[in-house]
Amino acid sequence: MALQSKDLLGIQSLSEGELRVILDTAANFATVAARPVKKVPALRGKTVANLFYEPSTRTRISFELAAKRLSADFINITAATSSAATGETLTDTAKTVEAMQVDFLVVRHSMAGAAHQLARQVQCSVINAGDGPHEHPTQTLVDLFTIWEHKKRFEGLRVAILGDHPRSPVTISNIYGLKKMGAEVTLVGPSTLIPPGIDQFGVGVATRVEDGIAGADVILLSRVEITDANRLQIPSLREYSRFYCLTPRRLALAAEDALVLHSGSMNRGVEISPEVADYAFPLMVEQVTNGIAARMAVLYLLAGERE
Amino acid sequence: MKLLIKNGRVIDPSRDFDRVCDLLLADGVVAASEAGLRASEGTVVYDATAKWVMPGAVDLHVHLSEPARADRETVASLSRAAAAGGVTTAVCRPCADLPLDNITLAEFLLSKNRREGLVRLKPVAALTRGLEGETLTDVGDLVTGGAVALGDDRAVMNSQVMRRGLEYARSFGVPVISFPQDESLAAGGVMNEGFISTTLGLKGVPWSAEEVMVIRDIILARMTRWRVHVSPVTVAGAVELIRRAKADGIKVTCDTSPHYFLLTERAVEGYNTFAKVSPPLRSERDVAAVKEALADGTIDAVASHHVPLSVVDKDVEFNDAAFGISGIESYLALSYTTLVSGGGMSPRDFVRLVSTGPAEVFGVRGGTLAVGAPADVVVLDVEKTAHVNAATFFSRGKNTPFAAFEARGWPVLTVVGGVVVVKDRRLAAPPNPALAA
Repeated sequence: MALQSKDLLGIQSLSEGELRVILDTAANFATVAARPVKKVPALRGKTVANLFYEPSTRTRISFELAAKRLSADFINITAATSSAATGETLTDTAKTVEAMQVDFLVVRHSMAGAAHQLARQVQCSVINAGDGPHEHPTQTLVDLFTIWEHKKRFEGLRVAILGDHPRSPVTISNIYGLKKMGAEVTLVGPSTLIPPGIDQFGVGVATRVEDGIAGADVILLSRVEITDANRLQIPSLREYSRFYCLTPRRLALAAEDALVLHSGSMNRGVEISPEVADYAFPLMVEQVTNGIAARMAVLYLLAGERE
Repeated sequence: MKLLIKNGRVIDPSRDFDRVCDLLLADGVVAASEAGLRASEGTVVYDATAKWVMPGAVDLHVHLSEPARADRETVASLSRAAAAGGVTTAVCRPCADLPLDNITLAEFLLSKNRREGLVRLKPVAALTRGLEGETLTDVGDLVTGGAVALGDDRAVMNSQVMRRGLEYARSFGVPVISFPQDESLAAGGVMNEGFISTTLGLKGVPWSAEEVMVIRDIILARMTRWRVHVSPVTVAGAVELIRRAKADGIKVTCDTSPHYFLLTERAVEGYNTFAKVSPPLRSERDVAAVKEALADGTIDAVASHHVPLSVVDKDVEFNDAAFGISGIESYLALSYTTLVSGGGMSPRDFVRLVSTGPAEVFGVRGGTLAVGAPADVVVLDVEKTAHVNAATFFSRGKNTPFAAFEARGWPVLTVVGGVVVVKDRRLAAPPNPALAA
C-alpha cells in the first residue's frame, strides 16, 4: 500500500490509515537499522535533494541518512533565505530543481506554505521538512512512532503539548496526528500562546500547567525562547519558567509512566528543568534514531505506486 | 460629435430614473434622455436593446506605479483597463510607488493622463508627507491642484495627526479617507486571524484591528464635524459601527470591494497569493454583513480596490507576496453578478453603488445622466456571461483570485466626455480630447 498523494506536505491531509501504514513501515525500517549492514536497495537509482532555505542540522542529516540507507543518491541544496531574496520566483526555482531530475525534493523553509507552493509546480515528490510555524510532518511521525513504541496505543491517550505554539514548528502537526490517531490533546500555555481558533481543532486548553499536565500519558515539549516576534506574548523567560517549566514536581502530576518528548534542542531551565531534561534525554536520543526510520518510511512509501 | 444610444434601459439614480428610452450625447454632455429620439445627420447610433445604459462607474480606489516601477501599472495601462471595465472616472490613491504627497506628483499624474489617458483620473492626495503619518502635506496646494480627497492608504496611527488632518481638510472641503487597520494589531499579519490562519501557519490580522480604527475615526469625525470616508470596510462590527454613526448624523461614508463580499478567508487556502489583500479577506459572517450593508445603504460605494502587481510580486512565498488584487476590469461584472443576479438588488441601487454614490462621496462630476451632465456613460450587457480571464486584462496586473469565475453583466461600451473609449473591447487611441477640457 502506498500513499494517496505524491507529496508529504503535512499531517492534515493524511488519513488515519496512511498514518498507520507509515508507522508500520517505520517499525520495519527500525529493525533494518539494528542490523550490521544498515542499507537496503529500495531506492537505488533515485535521487533525493534537500532544498533548505534555513539551516536545520538535525532534520537535514536525518533525511540524508534515510536516503542513503535506502540506496538513493543524495544532494544538498542550500538556498537563499527566500524566493524574494534572490529575485527568482518560486516557479523558477521549482523548474530549475526539476530539471536536475530529482525524484524527491525535501524542503525546509521558515515560511508557511513554501513546500506547498513548490509542490504544485513539480512532478517529483515534495516532502515538507518544516515550513515555519505551519507543519513539520516528519517530526510528528517521529513523535507518533516513539509514542507507539512505548505505549502501544493512541486511543484515549492523554497528551499535553507545551511550548511557544504560534512559533512551534510541530504543534499544529502534532495536533493533527494525535487527534487522527484518537488521542486527547491539551495545549498548555498562557493565553497569548494559544493560537486563534484552537477550539475548532477539538483540543483542550490549559493556561495553568498543573491543569494541563494532570494525568497526562505523554508530554510534548518544544524549545521556548524570546525573540522580537514573541516579546509581547512571553514577558520574560524567568516568568515563563516559573509558571510553565516542566519540573519534577509538576511531572509528578502526570501519569506514573508518562513519556516526556522534546522535539528539538532543549533550553534547560526554561521549558524543562535540568532534572527532567536528564530524565527525558535517553528518549530524545531514541527519537534521533527513530527519525531516520520514520523518514525512510516516508521516502519508501512515496516512491510506491499511487493508488 | 453626437452619439445616440437607442432602446437601452436607462438607469439614473440621481433622478430616480429607470426606463427604456434613448440617450443622446452631444458636445461632451448628455443632451436628452427620452423615447423616440431621432438621429440627425452625422449622429452615430448605438443599439442598446436589452442592455443597461448607466452613468459610467466612478471607481474610488485604484493604484498605479508610474514612474517608480517599469513592470507595474502605468497611467496608460490603467486607463485602458478602466475603460474596458466600464470606469469613466478612476480615483488614484497614494501608495509607496506614487505617494502623491506633493503637487508635482499630482500634476504629473494629471498631465500624463491628459496625454495618454482614456478615462478621467482624479488623485487622492496623501494626508501626511511620505505616508509616514507624522506631518500634514500641503493640503491646500494639493486640493487646488485637483486632489478630491486625502488619505495615506494606510492608517494614520497618531490620533492627533488624524484630528488635525480632518480639521485642516475641512477648510478645503475634501473628505479624509480612513484606512481602517490599526497597524499595531495588524503587525505581521498576512490574512484574516482565526482558525484558517492557524491551520495555514500564517499570521493573522484580527477583526478588531479594523473596528478599533473605525471607532476612533468616527469619534474624530464627530469631534471635528468633518467627513471621514472609511475605505474599505470589511468586517461585520465595523459595518455596524458605521451604520450607527450614520444614524447619529455623524459625517461618515464608506466603500467596499467585490472581494470582500464574494470571497472569504478560505480563498487563501493552498497559499493562493492572489487572495492576499489588505485588509484581508474575512469570514463568512463578515461577508454576509457587508452584503447586508450594501443592500441597506450603509455602504455608499463599491470600488474595485485595484492593486495591479507583477508576477514577481506574487509568485513567491505567501509571507513575502505583495498585497493586492487587480480588479478594475472585473469588478462591475462581479458586483452585478453578486448583488443583482444573486442578491436581487434593484438596478437603481446597483448603479448608485458603483456610480452615483461614489461620485457624491468624493464630490467628483459624474454619476448622473441628467441633461447637461458630462457624457460619461456605460452600456452594460446584462445578458453577457463570461469567465474572468486575466490573460485578456488590459491592466498589467494579472493578479486576480477570480480566474475562471463566471460573471454576468459586462460593459460593452464606455463613453467618456462623449468620446467612445471602448466598444466591444476595442479601445480608442489616446489621448481622449475630452480630458483636455
